Amino acid sequence: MRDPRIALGVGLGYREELNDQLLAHVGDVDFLEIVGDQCFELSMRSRVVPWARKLPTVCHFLGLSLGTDEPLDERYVAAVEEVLQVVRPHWFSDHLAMTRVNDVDLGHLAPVNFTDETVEIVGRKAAAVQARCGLPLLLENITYHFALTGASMTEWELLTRIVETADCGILLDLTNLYVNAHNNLYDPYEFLRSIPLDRVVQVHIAGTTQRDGVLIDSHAHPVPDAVFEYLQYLCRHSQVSAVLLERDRDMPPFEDLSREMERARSILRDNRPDPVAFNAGT
Amino acid sequence: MPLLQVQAALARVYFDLRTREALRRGDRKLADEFGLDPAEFENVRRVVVDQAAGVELFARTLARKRDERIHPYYPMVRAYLGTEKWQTLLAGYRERHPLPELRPAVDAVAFGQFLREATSAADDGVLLDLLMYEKTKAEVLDGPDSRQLVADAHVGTPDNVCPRLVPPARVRMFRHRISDLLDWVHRGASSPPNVPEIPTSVVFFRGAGDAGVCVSEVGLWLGSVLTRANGRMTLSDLTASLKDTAPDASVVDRLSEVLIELSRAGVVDLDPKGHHS
Repeated sequence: MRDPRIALGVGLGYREELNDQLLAHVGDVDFLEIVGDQCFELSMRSRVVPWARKLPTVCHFLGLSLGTDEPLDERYVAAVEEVLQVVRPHWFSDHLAMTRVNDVDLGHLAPVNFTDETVEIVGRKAAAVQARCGLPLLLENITYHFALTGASMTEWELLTRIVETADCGILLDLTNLYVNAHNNLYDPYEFLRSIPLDRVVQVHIAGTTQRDGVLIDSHAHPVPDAVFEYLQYLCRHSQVSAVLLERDRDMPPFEDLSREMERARSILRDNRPDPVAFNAGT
Repeated sequence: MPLLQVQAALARVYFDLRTREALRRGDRKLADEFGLDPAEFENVRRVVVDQAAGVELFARTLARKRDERIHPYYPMVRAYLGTEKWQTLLAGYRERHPLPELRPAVDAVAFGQFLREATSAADDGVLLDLLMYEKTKAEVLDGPDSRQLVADAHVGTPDNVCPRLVPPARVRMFRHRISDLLDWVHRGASSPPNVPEIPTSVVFFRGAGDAGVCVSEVGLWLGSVLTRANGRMTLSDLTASLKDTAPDASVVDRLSEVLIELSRAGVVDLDPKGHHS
């Protein structure tokens, strides 16, 4: 994996409604994550690019659909390339998921099966996208409220084997881990102990809510304490480059976001592991 | 059996309540429809049966996201219908068309068509105008923009060239002035509009690049000219068809001259007959 390791710190997902507040609090944000799909529109791109010149950025995409047993959508990949060339992020990411199949756009992230076949498909497609775009690609774990039948491995084994096959990084969504561990009754620390932490480059943290006993990643509530505890564990055992606070709805006063970012920042600062050699070039 | 067929079956399961119900009843005819062998079919069926709560939660999320992608195309229709009726109609659309189109604009156009059929009995002029206005914008947004067109054939005589607007425009006739309806929405759209009936022609076309849909109200006669300038009628036939309705005969006499001038400016394409058919 090409080493994307650079300490970006703690950042925020760029949302248009935050624009003015970001201008007023730009010193509170170490970097921005830009949803690349929004930049397919030239008008949105023109509003985002100035931010990319002001702060370090990373790009997050939604539609590569790496989990679908179909070739990559050439038009989509070309659009991704174009955005990356304009925004010039440190790395880009997408999900370990299926978002479209047979010309049907699900509009959301559907789980993939935990099988050898999925490892082969996602590994091959992720490697191809990464090579073509010339930037480190990170894969993000998603939430799932049901598992597909016929799994031959655990979620963490799947993630591990895919990133090793594709030789790419991990965007570890700790809130998704928290939600999945709660809903699917597994030990989140077993997950954390089992994945190659040296490949975790970026982390997502976000709020949750509960509906009928089911945890949901709402992106509209404060980050749960447990998620900060996972972050602490992670920071003690790996060199996380970037922690991103995701907030999409019910925006609180910016001070609340700053407080959550500061909490993450202090964990990042106080729990650095001893320097370890990162497997650059492996 | 390729995984793709299983994934396509799952996509239908996620979107279509009737398919999920059929699977729960154990309807094995679906295996043929999906093109799955018995083992794969059983795997799909077990997901739906054994994890019903999770699948239904996911299905509701997909439905909500699909609705959210249609919403932006119909702000005025939504304001006019009110939330409850809007949601009921959206649910009806999803039931009729379980699988969304790949592009949101295409889904929005199909929804507009459904809405047109579902509300036609009411003969509500304001609703029909709002619906046609927003549906046409969705159609144009999904169409080609001017960058994809090649004005390659500005040759021929009035008898064998067919004028066509560049980029292709859509002309629609409305019972009300759209500007009046837009004003009503901007004022809050909180009560039924008291808008006078003034028949209006409106031209819709896709702006270059990312400009979106451009909309312009034009006079009825000009609207009829633009409607006919669709690449199917020769310039001679076009001018002949307009003679009886023209406000002034000299306008028609000069039409060829004007269109040829506009074709030089790239506004009108004068294609050889049949070039686009």
